[in-house]
Amino acid sequence: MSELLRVNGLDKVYDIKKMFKPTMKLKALSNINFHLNSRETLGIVGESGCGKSTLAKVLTKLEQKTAGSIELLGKNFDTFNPKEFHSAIQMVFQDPYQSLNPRKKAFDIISDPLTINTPEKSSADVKEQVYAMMKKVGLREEFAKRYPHHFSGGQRQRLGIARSLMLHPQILILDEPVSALDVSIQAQVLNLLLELQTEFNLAYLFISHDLSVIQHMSDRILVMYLGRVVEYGSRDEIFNNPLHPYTQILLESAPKTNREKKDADHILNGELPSALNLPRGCAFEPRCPYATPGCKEVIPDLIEKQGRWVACHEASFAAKN
Amino acid sequence: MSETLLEVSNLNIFFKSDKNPEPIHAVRDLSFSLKQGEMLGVVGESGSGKSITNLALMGILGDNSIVKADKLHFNNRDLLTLKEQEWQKVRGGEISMIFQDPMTALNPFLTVEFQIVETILAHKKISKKEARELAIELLAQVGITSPAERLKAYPFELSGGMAQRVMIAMAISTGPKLLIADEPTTALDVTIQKQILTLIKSLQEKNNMSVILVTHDLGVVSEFSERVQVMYAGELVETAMTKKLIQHPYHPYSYGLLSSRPGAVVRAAKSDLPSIPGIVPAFHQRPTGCQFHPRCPHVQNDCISSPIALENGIRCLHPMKEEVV
Repeated sequence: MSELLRVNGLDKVYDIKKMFKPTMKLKALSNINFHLNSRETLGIVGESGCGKSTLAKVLTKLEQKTAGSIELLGKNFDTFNPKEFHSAIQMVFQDPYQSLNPRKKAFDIISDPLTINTPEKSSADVKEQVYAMMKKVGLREEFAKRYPHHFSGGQRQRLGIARSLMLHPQILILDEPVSALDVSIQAQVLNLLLELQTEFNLAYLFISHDLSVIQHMSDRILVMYLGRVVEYGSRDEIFNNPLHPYTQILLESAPKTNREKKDADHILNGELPSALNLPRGCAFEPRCPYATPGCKEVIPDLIEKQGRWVACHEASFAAKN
Repeated sequence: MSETLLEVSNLNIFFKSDKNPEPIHAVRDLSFSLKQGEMLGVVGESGSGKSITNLALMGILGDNSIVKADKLHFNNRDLLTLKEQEWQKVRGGEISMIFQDPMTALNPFLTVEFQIVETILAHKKISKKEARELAIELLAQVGITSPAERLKAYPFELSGGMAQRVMIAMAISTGPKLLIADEPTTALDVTIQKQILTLIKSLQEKNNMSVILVTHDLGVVSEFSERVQVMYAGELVETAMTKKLIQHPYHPYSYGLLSSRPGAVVRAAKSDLPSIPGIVPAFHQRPTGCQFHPRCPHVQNDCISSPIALENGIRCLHPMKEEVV
């Protein structure tokens, strides 16, 4: 297994400018570290506002990072030219109703990456590749002439997936790829993603707020809270023995059909604090059931504990309870 | 057990359309009842008719709709024969509703205070000052901290979870007998979802209020409501106690819905999920016979020709024998 992507100390800070007021800094991502191996899926979970989508945008160069380094295929991320970059990393968006141009036919949507990046290709060649890809993602050939509004949600997401695979990237960033779909369609798309992963040797960065989907799809998992990594490790470690109190409560909150006994009902009080006004110490401290006075003062480092990485002063205490 | 609050028998909802000479049949032969203080979960995908049924119960379907039923009784009154003036007392007074997206359900130009007080004054004969005090009390009841200050807030100043709490406060302000919650937590994070659902559950128990909880998530239903009905393409396909349905769904659609959910069954990671092929048919392209037959893995000849009746809570000629493993 080779390493495709390594992110070191990534920061993303937005300047919030308001008239007659001093500029404020919004720390959307702070000190993010992780790596992605070939053919594996890294799941990224967290509530809205935790920085999942910002991370995806920075990794696809839709946003510029503020600090830190990213290594892609062993090279510095910043030295890639657009063409090389887009054949290495591609993205599938959440809402298939908004991410496809309504005035383009399916054929053009799928063929655009090719005609833009490899203009030397003959049109017969492009046609052949588009039809081959449509077949792979389960779209019939006659669909090529249709516009996005002719397709159902699941079919549109297939279109988005086909488009992202045209340049044969090694990494695919999936930002909530199934959350806009109906339950019975979700399984179809998830199965397709698994098939394509084996067929094209893809590495996935799978962003979702749905824990059961993350559990099903991921090899390793990164849990984020307010722009920081709070726990990072293999799927089984995180799901069977979560150490960070936030991970524990997140797992407990997810509705299940097969809950055996009523867990000691931990309802997470309060909501995500504003990212403009972060607590001085641990960002989770105001909502944490195990918080101690020390947590208010010092931001916990991400340290290795029981086979995974966790950022919590009281992790060993929380684990026992 | 307590008395029946809502009784619906053979409810049919049609929509007139310019394109089709025949009105579109959106909800077909729906019968169910609800007891005082009971929570009923309704599960179904988009196009299953669950939201249209709720709008019919609130009397807010558009002019192009035709509602027919053998019986549509709420609290010993016939909803079909209500005049608009009487509807205004029932709607918001005895039946309240909360919607999926709290941010679009609240008026962005008006303060929380204005919106809650307006609702209270529409249904109760009390002074504005008393209504304001009641509003503060209600906000505290739904778990909003410093309610007096929050009254002055505009909806954009609230988070999604808080806006949904305001919606709930507004819905229960008139002491309704029935609360319809249409996907109340779909737009919210899981941790906030649990807070909101726990709040609804506690209000149901405290006020002896009936609740219809509409959701697409079987997990939500199985944790919060005792009874569930599954809808597909405008028909009720299965109804049972939640525990029983989760353990042994008889209709192939309920079965598919349950087993295609990742995490419903302990499964090796990255294994294929059993999926339901195809999509829900559009309103104007409904098949004959069983609505599910084009997607059903167990379809037989007799499923295709004539409509299937609901028997013992199952609308299927060949119910599943196996349990979800």
